Amino acid sequence: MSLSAVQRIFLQAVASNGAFKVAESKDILKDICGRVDSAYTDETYGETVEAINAKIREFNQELKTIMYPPEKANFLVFINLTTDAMNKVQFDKPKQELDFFRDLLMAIIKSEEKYIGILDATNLVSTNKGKALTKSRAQAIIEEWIEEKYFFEKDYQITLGPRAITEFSNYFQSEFADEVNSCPLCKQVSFWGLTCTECKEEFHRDCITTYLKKKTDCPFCHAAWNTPVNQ
Amino acid sequence: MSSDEDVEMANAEKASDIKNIVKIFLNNCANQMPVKRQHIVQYALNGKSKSFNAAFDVAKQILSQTYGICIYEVSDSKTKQYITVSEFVGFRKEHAKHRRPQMVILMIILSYIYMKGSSITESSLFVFLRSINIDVEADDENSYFGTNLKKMITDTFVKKLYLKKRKEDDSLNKDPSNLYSWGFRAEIEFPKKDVLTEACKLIQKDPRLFVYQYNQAYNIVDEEMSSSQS
Repeated sequence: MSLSAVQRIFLQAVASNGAFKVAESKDILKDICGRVDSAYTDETYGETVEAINAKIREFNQELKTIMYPPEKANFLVFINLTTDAMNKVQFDKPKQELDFFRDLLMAIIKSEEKYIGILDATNLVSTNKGKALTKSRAQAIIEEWIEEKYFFEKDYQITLGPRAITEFSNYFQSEFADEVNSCPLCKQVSFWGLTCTECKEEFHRDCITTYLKKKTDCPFCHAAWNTPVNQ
Repeated sequence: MSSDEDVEMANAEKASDIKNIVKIFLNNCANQMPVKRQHIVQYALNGKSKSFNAAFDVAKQILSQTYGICIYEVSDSKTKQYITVSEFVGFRKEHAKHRRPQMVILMIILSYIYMKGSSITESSLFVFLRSINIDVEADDENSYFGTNLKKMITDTFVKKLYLKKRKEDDSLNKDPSNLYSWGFRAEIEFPKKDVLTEACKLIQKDPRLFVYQYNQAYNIVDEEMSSSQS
């Protein structure tokens, strides 16, 4: 009935960090197994994630694997699906911080490249009506969100992190249908995908790579596929 | 026929109550904030106070068996409230790297309070920290601990029940100082034996020289009512 000690420790590790690269997750799991004297085989990782998901899905949570292009790696992400009303009951998040989070998400989504400068990000607090957050608090909280994998920073630019992309996928598709792209193959939200040179439709790299194993045309307009799929 | 439907509806409602309680705890375990019984009744049970006990017991089991999370009832509180603590405290360190600075300063403060007896004034705490080059009142951001170290200590740690803050009992003094002692969460998460051992290693003294602390750590003489698992 219950998950094993290894499984629970692993779940806590991923949940408290938000996300880990898959390679790192495997190392963590192997380390946990070593410390509690449990065997680690090639199957352990897959079995562990599956066993955990079987139990946590009923609470609208999941360990999901996604390809995250900004870091060119697969990530294991712990997500709390946002449709749950209980998710709003958190006793430490002031409304201004939640508003700022949403404003930051929106600013990134509406930008062309899906990156905004860190200074522009902290300046967003001035747009808040009423009691605004201080700039230093804004900076500190952005750093917290980066630690939690909601955002990702590179060269003083901020974009969506693996956790925001996975957790808010449905929200983006419904609220920002004009600004975000959905991969025509899997229907999920896609950022930094590969584009067809003819019809300009954007696909997930993984989705189009799988498709092109059997075909050579664009799944959408059926013109010849010209965009290279390798890094 | 209708009584079967009633039973089915009652079971569905109980399942939903349990799920809501589990979720409230899950969503508040990262922030380490205590969860009040009245909030559980209000948000998870829609005000149905009678449903609390049955649903709560099952929720506790699920939190332990699936998530490895333990629920403790806070012992010295006016309103009934609960905190979550991981059952696997030994693995805490590597998996919450961004909490490391917080844990470091907390360990320093808790050790200092413990070795000094049981409670210290706010000013003596700040003087101590300054003596080890941690200036709590400095305006500029501390490079390791980040902004607002003073707020972290005097407010955040108290809210999370790592520290307990109360006014000095001094009717003659118009402006009594704040006294800090170990909070309920600290008592659970930091075994006194370990704190004593580590502190004594640092100052290179035998733990048994600190009779009061040693007795506290090894539960000798005063069998205090230790924080009970609810």
